[in-house]
Amino acid sequence: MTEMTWAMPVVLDLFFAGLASGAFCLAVLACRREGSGFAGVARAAALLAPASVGFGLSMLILDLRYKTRFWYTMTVWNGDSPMSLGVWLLTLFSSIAALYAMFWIPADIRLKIPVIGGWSIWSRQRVRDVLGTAGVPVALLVSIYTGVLLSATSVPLWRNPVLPALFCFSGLATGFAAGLLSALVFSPGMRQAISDGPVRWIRGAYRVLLPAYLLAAVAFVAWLFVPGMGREPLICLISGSSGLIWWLGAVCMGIVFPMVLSFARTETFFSRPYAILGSLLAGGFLMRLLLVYMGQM
Amino acid sequence: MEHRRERCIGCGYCIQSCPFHVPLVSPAQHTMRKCSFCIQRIDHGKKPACVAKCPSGALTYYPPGDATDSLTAYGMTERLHMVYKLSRKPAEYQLPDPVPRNTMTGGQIWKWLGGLIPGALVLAWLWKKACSREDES
Repeated sequence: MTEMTWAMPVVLDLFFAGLASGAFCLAVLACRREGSGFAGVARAAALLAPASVGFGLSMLILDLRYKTRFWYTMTVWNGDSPMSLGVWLLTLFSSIAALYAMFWIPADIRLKIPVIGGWSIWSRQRVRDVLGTAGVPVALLVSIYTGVLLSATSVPLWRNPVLPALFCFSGLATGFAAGLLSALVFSPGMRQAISDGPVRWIRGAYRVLLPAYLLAAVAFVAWLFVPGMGREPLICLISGSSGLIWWLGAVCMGIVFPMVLSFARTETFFSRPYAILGSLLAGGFLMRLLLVYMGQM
Repeated sequence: MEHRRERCIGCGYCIQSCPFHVPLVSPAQHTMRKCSFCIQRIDHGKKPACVAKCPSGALTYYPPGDATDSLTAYGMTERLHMVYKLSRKPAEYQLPDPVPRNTMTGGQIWKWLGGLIPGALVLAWLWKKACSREDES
């Protein structure tokens, strides 16, 4: 049994790194659609991605016992260590996300940024689109890294090959939700345009993404039944109060509830977007919280 | 193995990765702490310090290549850095059974692919959907 080495900062890093990758993908995808609503969502998601990954990175540094030595990891390349690969991936992704966000900052605010704010490159949509397209695979790898980081350890609950796919889908789903919520909250004048286009489009996207997410969650639990995996991880995840959080919080609230409403013929998805997207975000956070803590119990 | 304490950032990943739960965090130093197996003593033909000072005979040191005796050699065929000689089942010593094999790199590639393939398929579908001019029903 291992001691509790990782706590809340690691949970927050995993959650916000995954969310950032999903938000970045949403920004690039929304950018390919026409209409002011999609532009509003692309802008909100593009600005959210670097803020979210920056917060996640700061949590990762906060968790270190020697915080000022964090840069040592950037002097080493170790292909066998997901932590080392993750540091390089996060560095590359946060740089791309920050540059991509620069294209979306309103011109009057961008011009106030010293030195680089006045560069004409930020007005060139072709450069923005190429950068966004190049950043999507990196964003995808970041969301997978959060799963591989845990999956490559010796902790029985985490040593599960489905974890990378589970965290990948969770990152995409929560990133889409956070990007859309940001657009709805921070662009009150565009709410109607956002509801007409992007909310409808994301509901369609969730009809594929959430079943895949649910399948990964079921496969994750099914893997624990494989002979030789030990009974301890299975019992600690699906029984007692932790089982309640897993099934009701992470699975029902985070996946099943928004998925059912995305397929429903009623207009609930459009009339209650805050509740549905909030539920998805809370479920995604609970999933990481539970897995990180229960793995170390 | 050598531990350069001044390079340790205290991330705890080594603790989560070791199947034998050997590395620990030093409460005083706040860095990882791990036995070096007295490599400097072994290099000079001596036993590790813990074995040399053990008053009850609980610890025995077998130099590399030493013939196996009646005890089970745990980790010999898996080429573990340190081989355990056990008189009972590994589980009774809280050791993982079977012995974890050193397949980290190969195993990790599958873990990356296990996330990459389904994730890329879903993203590709979303990309196609985003480029489509059809309105959502």
